[in-house]
Amino acid sequence: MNGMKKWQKLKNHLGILPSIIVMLLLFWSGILKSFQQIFDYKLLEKVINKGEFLNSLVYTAKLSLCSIILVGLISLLGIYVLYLLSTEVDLIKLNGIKMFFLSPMYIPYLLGGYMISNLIGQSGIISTLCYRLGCIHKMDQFPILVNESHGYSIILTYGWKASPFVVLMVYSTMIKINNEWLDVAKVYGVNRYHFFKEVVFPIIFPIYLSSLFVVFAHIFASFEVPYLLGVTYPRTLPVLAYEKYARNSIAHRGEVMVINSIIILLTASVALIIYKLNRSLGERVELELEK
Amino acid sequence: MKKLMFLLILVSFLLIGCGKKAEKSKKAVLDMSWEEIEKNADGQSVSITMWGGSKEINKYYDEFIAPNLKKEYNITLKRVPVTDIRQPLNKLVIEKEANKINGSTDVIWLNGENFKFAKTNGILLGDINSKMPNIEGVDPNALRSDFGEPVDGLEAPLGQANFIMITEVKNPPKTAAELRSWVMKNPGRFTYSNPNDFVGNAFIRTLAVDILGRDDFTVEEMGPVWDYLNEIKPYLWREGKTYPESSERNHELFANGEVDFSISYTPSIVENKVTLGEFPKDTYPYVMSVGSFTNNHYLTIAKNTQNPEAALVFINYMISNDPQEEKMKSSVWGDGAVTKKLKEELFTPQLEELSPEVTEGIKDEWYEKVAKA
Repeated sequence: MNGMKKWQKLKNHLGILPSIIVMLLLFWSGILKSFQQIFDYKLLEKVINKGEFLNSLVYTAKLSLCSIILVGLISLLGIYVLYLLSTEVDLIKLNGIKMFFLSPMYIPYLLGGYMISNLIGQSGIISTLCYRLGCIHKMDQFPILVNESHGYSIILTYGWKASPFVVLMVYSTMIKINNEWLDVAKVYGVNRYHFFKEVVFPIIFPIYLSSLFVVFAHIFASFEVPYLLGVTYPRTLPVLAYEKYARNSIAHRGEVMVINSIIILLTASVALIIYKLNRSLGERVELELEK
Repeated sequence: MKKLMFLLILVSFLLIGCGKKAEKSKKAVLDMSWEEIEKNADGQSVSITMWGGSKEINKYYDEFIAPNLKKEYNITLKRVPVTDIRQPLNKLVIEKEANKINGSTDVIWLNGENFKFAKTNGILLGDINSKMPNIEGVDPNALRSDFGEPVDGLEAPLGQANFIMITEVKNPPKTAAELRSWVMKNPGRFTYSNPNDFVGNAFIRTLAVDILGRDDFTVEEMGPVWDYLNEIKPYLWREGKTYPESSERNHELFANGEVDFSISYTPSIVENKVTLGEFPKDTYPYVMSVGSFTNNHYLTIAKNTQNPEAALVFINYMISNDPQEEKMKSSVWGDGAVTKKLKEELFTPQLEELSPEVTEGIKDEWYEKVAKA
C-alpha cells in the first residue's frame, strides 16, 4: 500500500520530466558553463580587485534596499485600502478596484522608466508645469531627479511598478479571511484598524515578506531601468555586466560571466531565504486559516 | 526513458544537420564572365541578412529595391532582419566547421569589427569587387580599408557615415581649444555621449586627433586628451557627473533645450528632425576643423551561398546610381552615397577611422580616467 502511494507520487512528478530535460540542456548547461569561470581564481581576483565591482555591488544593494522599502510602504498602503474596501463593497466591485490598482503591472519596465523620466526630468512635464505656473523662473531650477547618483528616479520607478505585484500576491490570501471574524470582533469593540493590525496583518505577513524578497531579487538583477535612469558612474552590476558584454572583443567575456554568476548566486540565496520563510511561516498561516 | 532517448536523438539530429548534398562548385562563379553571371541570376532569388531595426531602411528595400530588382533582373529579394549581425556570422562559422555547403545566407550587410570577424574566419565568398562592372563608379577610398582592416575586394561599399556636430549656435567652436573656451563660457550647455556609444567614442577620437596632432596614436598616448576632458568636465551638462548613455539621448537633451550641441554619424538626421519639429529650425550640421571621421558600411556574400550569381547582380545593382540616389534622400534613409558622382563634398576633410584597439581602449580608459575621476 505504501509502495503504491510512493509510486503514485513519483508518477505525478514524472510529468515534468520533459521540461526539466529541456531546462537542463538549454538553460542550466549555459549557467553551469558560466559558473565554471568563478572557479578560475585569477579571473575572480581580477574582477573583485577592480574597485569598480565592489562599488557597483554596494550601489546595487543600496538601490535595491531603498526600492523595496518604498515598495513595502506603497504596497502596504494599497493592501490596507483594499482591506477597508473589502468590508464595504461586494466582490465584483472589489475585483474591479483591484484591477485598477494593478494597472502599472501591464506596463513594461523600460516604458515605465521612460515615463518617470519624462515626468520628473529637468525638461519633463512637472518641471514645465512649474515653469508655466511661475514657481520657477528657469527650467534648470527644477531639482535634478533623473540621472543622478542617488537614483531617486530609479527607486521611484520600482516603487510604482513593483508594488502592484506585492498587492496581487497578498490579495488572494486576504480575501479568504472570514469577514464574520470582524463581526465577532466588533462585538468586543474592536475597530477595523485594530482588526487589520492584530488579525489580518499577521496572516498575510509571510506572503507579504516573501513577495518583497522576490521584488528585491528582481530589482537586484534587472538592467533596463538603471541603464536608462542611472548615472555613468557608479553603475549597477547588471549595467556593468551589459556594458562589458556589449563590447566586440571577447576578452571581457570571462569577467562578464563571473559578474553574472555572482548576481545569480546572490539572487538565488535570496530565493532560498524566501523558500525557508514560506515553509516555516506558511504552515502557521495554514493552521490559522483552518481554525 | 523513452522520452529521454527520443530527445537525445532529436538533439543529435539538430547538431549534425543535413548531410552533404551534391557539391556544386561555388568558386566557379568568380571565374564566370559577367554576362554568364547575369544569365544565371535570371529567375533566382536572393536574401539579404541585415539589421532590421529601422522602419525607413526596411521600407527602402521593400518598396524601392525589391520591385526594381524584379523588374530589371527578374530576381526576387528576401529581407532577413536580425537584431545583431554577429548572430548570422556565428552561424556561418558553425556551418563552415560542419562543412555545410548549402547555406541559407546570401548577402550580408556589415562593417568594421564584424567584417574583420568574417574575414579572419574565412566565411566570405571571395574577391567580388573585381567582378562587378559598377565598381568603376565607386569612390576608391571606400574600397581600401574598413576600420583599418584591408577590404581585399571581399565586400562592396553600400553607403557612408560621417561624424558631425549638430548645433544652432552661430560661429560654432571648431577646434579643441575653441570648444574649451566655449564650454567654460557657457557652463552646463554641452555634453557628449558615453564613449561606450559609438558616436560619443568618435567625438573623443576627433578631439584626440586635434590635441595630439596626428592620427596614429595608441591609447597609452592619450594622456593629454584625458586631461582636456577632465578640465572641461565641471562645465559640462550636470557638471560632468553623468553622460547620456546614447547619442539618441543626447539628441533628446538637445531637442529639449538642455544643451546646445549634439553629435551624430548620420548628417541627414538634422534635416529629418527639423522637419519633424524635434530640432529647432535653425539647426545645422558642421564638421570640426581636423576633419570628420568617415566610415562605410558594406555588402558581402557568404561563402556557402546557394545563389552567388543573384547575390552578385544584386550588389552590383546596389552600387549603381539609382539606388544610391534614392538612399540619399533624407525622407527615405539619408545615407551617404558611395559613387563618385553623388559623393557629398560637404564633410571634408575626411579622417580615416582608427583601429578597433583604439576604439575599444577609449571605452575603458575614459571610464577610469574621466568618469570616475
